[in-house]
Amino acid sequence: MKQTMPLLALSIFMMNVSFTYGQWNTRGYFECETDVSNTPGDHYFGYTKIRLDLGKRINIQIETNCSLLAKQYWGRQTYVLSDFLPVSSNENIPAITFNDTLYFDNLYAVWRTPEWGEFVIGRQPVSLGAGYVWNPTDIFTSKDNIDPTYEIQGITAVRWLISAGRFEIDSIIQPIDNGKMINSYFGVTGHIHHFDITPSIHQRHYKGDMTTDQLYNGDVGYGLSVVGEVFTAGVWMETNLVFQGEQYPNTREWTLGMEYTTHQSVYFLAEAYHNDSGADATTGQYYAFSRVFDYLDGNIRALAKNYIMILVQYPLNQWWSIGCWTIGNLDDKSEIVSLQLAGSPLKDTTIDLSAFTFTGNKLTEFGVQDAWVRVRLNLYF
Amino acid sequence: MLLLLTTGFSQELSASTILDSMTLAMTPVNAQSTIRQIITTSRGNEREFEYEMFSGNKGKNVLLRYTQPNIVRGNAILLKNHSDDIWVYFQRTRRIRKLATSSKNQKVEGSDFAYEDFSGGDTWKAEYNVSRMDDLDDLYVLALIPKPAVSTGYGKMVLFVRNSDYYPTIIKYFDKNMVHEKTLKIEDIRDIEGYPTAMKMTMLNHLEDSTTRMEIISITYHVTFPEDFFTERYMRQ
Repeated sequence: MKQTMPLLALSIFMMNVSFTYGQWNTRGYFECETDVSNTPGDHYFGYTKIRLDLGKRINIQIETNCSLLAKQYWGRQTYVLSDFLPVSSNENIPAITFNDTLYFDNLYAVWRTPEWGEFVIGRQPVSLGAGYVWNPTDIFTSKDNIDPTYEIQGITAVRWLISAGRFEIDSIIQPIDNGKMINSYFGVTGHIHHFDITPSIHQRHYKGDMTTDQLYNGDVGYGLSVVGEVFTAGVWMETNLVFQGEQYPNTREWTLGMEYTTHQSVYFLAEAYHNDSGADATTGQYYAFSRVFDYLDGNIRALAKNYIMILVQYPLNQWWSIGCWTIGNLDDKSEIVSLQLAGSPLKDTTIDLSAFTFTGNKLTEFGVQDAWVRVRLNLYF
Repeated sequence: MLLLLTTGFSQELSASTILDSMTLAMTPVNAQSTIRQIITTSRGNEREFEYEMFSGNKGKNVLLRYTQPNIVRGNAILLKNHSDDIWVYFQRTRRIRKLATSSKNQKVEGSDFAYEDFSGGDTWKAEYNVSRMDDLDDLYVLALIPKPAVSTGYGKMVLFVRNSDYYPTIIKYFDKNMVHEKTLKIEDIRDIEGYPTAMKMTMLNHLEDSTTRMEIISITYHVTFPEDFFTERYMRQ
């Protein structure tokens, strides 16, 4: 509450400034989601959310942007781990409660110069890589596997983007873990024929113990992202190789995908993902706690090693489309299958109706749940 | 006598020369415009969009940035190398996706215009075999058939070009099976900064019985763009 009041006051002030002087570029949306699931047992839950994006160009070189986000949950808000992941016991694991929130998702300034490119400072949106669901080269954020096109939370970082001839250079520095670590990323994008190719290097720098202020270099990773086309079909590949020192094995992640749109406007997308750090195939036993915790902590991008995702979409008319997608865990043989009807029946309105069914036994990643229905409404302003 | 000379001369013009003259008239080096687009479905429902369009290097590179309605405001489309390379930027997620060539003939935001319709006609001569059909009053009629290696959703285009200024007034699009798919009507042609400019264009989709009307709200050709303007980075601005 202590944090909420200043934010609320600030947001009201900013909206007031925006509407009074008309100098701020404003946009945003209201979102309402209702979910019904039997995971396990019947549950009803959902949320209402409002997002307000404000931008102001101070002069030709400098602009500021912020995104204020408020989210209010209803229905079931407290979950235990076994509600959505295959663990044998909830002992010593605190329940997860979704509380109402109000915060700045983004709050950053951009400084553009013709000679030195673009500097972005503050909490900002960053999305790297070419993959649709999985982006091994994105060391800063990860997508929601069952909703990969949803917005990702901003990260606090300093970013420098510059064009150098036919290349685009991207450098990012992100302080994390209360300043004890720094993530750094450096990527160069070039274009060859119909392909965009981005080799990158990233490193995690750790701070020494409390008596020293020195940083020492930790994990080093080398990434490669390629997106282009072969015989008019879109193809992409992403890989990331991380060297974790002598104590831990090197790890490798890769994504391989393709998409194609037929003359009848049927859209196909398929993507495969491999992750060395994922848990080995399990048969008749639960996933190791360490893997589950690593997954929940965001240390690994996926619980198991191998996945596949397939999507088919078809526009019914100008405003409505129908789709079906599936994500399969190839190691424990569990999968999600979803049918989706999405449309824009009214101006500045979208509605998304999704039904999910889960296969696999209760010891598998996706088999914990049975079925789920989601209705999401967005009103844009 | 002059009329006879003109008529006699015009009949001798090759299809290639007419196409060259049309390309010259249609493709200024750079352009910046604000465009209103109204889509009308077969049921009569209408939806309106507004976007800024930046065209550089004689239509080789095009950047569209939507300004209305709110649902797409800030979204951008970058077409480079005459629509051979297409990127789409989604404002809400701040993500950019590169589209494959198989998407070139897909509708842009549900309209009757495909991505490839936004690229300039500068490459038509290189990519199409052009021939003359029977003239129609004061119009030259050209047939354009894509060369085998060219990636396009169209099997043929028929252009009706004014013989007074080589500006096209109608373009008929045929699909790969030679079915007449769409007709573009080019209207209200005015002289803007020395270039004939169609202030209104209507695309009729004969297969879906829908139409998309485009109206230029403002346009200028006296514009230059920074070297890195047609890049993914600029899409986000």
